[in-house]
Amino acid sequence: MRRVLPALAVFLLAAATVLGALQDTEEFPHEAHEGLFPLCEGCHVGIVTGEEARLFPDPASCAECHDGTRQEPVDWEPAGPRASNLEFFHPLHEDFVGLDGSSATCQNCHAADQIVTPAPRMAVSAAAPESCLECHVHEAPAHLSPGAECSVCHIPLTEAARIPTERIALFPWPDSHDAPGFISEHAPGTPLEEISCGICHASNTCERCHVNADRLEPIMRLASDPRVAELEVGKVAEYPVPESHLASGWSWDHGSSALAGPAQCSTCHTRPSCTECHIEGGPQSAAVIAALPDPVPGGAPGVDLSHAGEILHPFDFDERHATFAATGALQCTECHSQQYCSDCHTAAEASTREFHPDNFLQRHALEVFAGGSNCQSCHSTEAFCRDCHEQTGLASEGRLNVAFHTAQPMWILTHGQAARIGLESCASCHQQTDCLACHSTFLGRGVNPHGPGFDAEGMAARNRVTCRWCHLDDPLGGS
Amino acid sequence: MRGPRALRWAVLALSLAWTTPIDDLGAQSVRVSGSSGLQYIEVRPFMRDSVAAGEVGGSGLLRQTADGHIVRCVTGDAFCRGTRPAGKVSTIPAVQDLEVSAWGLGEGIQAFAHLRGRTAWGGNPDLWPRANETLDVLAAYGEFSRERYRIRAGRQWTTSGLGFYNFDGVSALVRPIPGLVVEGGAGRSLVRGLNEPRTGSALEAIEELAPNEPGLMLTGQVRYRPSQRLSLAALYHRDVRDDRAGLYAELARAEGLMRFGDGSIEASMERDLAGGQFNEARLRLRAPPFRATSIAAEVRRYRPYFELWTIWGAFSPVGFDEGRLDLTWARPTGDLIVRGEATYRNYDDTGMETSPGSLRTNGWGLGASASWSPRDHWRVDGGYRMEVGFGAARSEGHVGVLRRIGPDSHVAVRGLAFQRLYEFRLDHGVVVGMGAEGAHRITDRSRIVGSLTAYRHLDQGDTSGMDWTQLRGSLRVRWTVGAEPGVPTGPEGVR
Repeated sequence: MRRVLPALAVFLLAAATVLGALQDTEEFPHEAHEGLFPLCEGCHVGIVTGEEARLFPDPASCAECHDGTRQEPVDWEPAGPRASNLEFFHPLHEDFVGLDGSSATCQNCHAADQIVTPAPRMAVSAAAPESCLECHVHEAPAHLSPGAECSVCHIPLTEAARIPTERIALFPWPDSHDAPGFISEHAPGTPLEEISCGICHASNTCERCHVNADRLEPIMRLASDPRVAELEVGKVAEYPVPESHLASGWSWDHGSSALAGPAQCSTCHTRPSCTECHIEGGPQSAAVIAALPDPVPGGAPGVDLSHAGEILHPFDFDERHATFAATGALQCTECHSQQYCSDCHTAAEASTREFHPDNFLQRHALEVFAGGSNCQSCHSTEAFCRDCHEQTGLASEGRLNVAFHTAQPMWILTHGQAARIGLESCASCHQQTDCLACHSTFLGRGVNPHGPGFDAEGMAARNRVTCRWCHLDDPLGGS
Repeated sequence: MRGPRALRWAVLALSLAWTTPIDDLGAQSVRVSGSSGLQYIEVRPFMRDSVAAGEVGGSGLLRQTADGHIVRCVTGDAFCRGTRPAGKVSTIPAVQDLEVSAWGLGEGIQAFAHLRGRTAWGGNPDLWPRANETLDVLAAYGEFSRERYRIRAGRQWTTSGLGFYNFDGVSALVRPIPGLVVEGGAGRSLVRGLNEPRTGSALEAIEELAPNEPGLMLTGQVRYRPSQRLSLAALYHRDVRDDRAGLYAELARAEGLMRFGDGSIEASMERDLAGGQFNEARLRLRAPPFRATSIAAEVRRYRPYFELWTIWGAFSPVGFDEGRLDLTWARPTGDLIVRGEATYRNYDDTGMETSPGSLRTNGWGLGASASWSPRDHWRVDGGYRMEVGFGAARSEGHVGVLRRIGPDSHVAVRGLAFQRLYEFRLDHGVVVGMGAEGAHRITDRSRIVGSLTAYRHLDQGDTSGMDWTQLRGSLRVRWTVGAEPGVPTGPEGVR
């Protein structure tokens, strides 16, 4: 008997739910009729019998009072049962009573104000779903809570064909869905959780973001639904950055994670996410890329990494990439084709790529003097620089009587210091023979150009031929 | 020496080849990539000029003519001589790169070639370096590779901490254990970037004392990455005359990189074994960001290196010590980045005690720049830098606005102004420039980029300096046809 009362309470609660549904469309002023109807079942007899056609009174019965004489005529029509995916049948709960053994009444569930005791009898509202939990005990502390076994009371949305799209759009939004990290961690962990998702969602919901929706079994088990598809139109796919991706050095270190679980990557990433950077790719990256889905027109877009290069390589990276490349700290060829290097490093002519900024030509003199650009790591200063300087009239023609170094009146005395500091710059305009005119012992005046600490023997040991440009007789006594 | 007309037209035809809809080159075993570039360049070259000594007033070695030119007057010479800007000339150089990869010839066998065609039109085509070298072969080699080793034979190039080297020969790469790469190569050395032997015409045409013997190159490097946080490398390069009478170059280098979080320590050291001196030693520390601010400090020792076939090394060039500080602040959202930098450089003593004019022996620089993206598709960049150094000084600023149009295109406008002063040559004025650029991804595998900038030289003062009033433009198309080995066909990406 103790089980009956709560069951009856649920029964009455459900009845009130049906009554409350009326208020959505054609609200019946219950309180205005208090005293006229002694029993709820008088009008809602179908609640007890289970006859859907008799859930609401015949509108003709209103005219018994609203006949135009005693009361104003009314034009009231019952809305009928509310379309819902709630699976509830009142007669099945008929024999139950409240937990305290008291008789169940409709008010147990449908009282508009549960706090006022006793509540006005005809002040009714939709039943609170929490009332169900008095008997249907599960881990969830409340309706719409994580852990709720929704399928106890509800059928999957895709099976509730009578629910209009507009009503689906008004489905309550669980607080858990607003929790931090929900999007990253919302995957159902148990079959029960998976079923619960299907109470409110169809596969179309998942396909908005999941690029691998056709590979994930929980999504594949969800049916598609045109009403949900209609509601998804115009919604933007959301790809929150997982916590792991925020870790220090993730851009550099993500390879091992990708190798360990490419399927996890494919939740959000399509192949272009990788190929945006991994142009050529090695065997390992190719394996990961192959495991990712291709983007499908009209499908989930996947994470946009079209500017990943800017993220991976800070804006000053072009200036300091040498060590990364030379030591193998970054395996450049994983991302770049060989041409990417050759664009700059085979620059026999001025760059075919935007390595040097547009106005670099006008300002490159300082770069040369400062040795900042290390020009000779790519260019042959003899050929590349002098070729251009000859065409533009900057290169020396070997004549010393032309005013060029006009800012130094005593240039002939100053040029030695300038040459030792900026010899790369000198070589971009002067041939070696320009210098030999004075510094050769047999072609010139024999002016010694060697500075303090000059290692003549070391130089001669490696290329004695060069010594002969200036020294007819070997100053070191060699042959 | 200009190539035949037919070849020039062939280069032009190749530059337009991207428009040809080639979806499949046979057995999915060939890929052709190209870069077709056109530029428009204006220059006012210097020309030598002379004036009768009697027409130049004043006294001394350097005098000024009535129209403002500086000339050199040697006592007893009937003429004073100087330089002045000639009339404006222009050229339109065209450069066409073609890269062809072929595979499917057997497991691990690949053939690769990188060809470059060039020509130039306009008033003075010779203005463009090597415009008369119509066709260059930058690389052409066969390759056999397995997971643990790779062998290449033919013309190839390599980049390393020692820079770029190209040669005709054989190279091998071995990966004996994970993280360890041993690479070596040997063959006939080529002039850096010129793709011809040392005894070829390129050097002969420009240097009376050009090398008279080909060079034989031997190079090797070891790279070891024991963990993702640490990587080390050692390199050796030797280039010897074919007659064994001497070396053209001998260099060694070591470098390392260690990362800790978002910070890193980099160190490198390069030694000229022939000269017995360090050409470069560098230590850079980048601290992990703190409150969105990152700081990097670098100390560097640099001394220029010259190949041993030149006499330049015998002139005892000196180097400098440099310190550099970079400061970067980035808003966590990444839409605003501000950067500041400072450098100081001190040159070594040249030992030239007799120099009457004290030339600058130090240098410094200060700069700041910012990049702001107020909205997803907009970016504003600006910066200013001032640098004073030996030989030259400059002050420059720039600002640019970029608008992305969808994922495939962008347009940008920019303005700039700069002033540079030479220590050895009189030059005046400020150059201002205004330009625009645009880029568009035509298809997944083709992209076009163009830019146009106009410069105007203001307040030039006397007319002895270089006049930078000119127009510059460029148009470049990149394209790829054929298959992609090992990688699904995708967007052009960072290419």
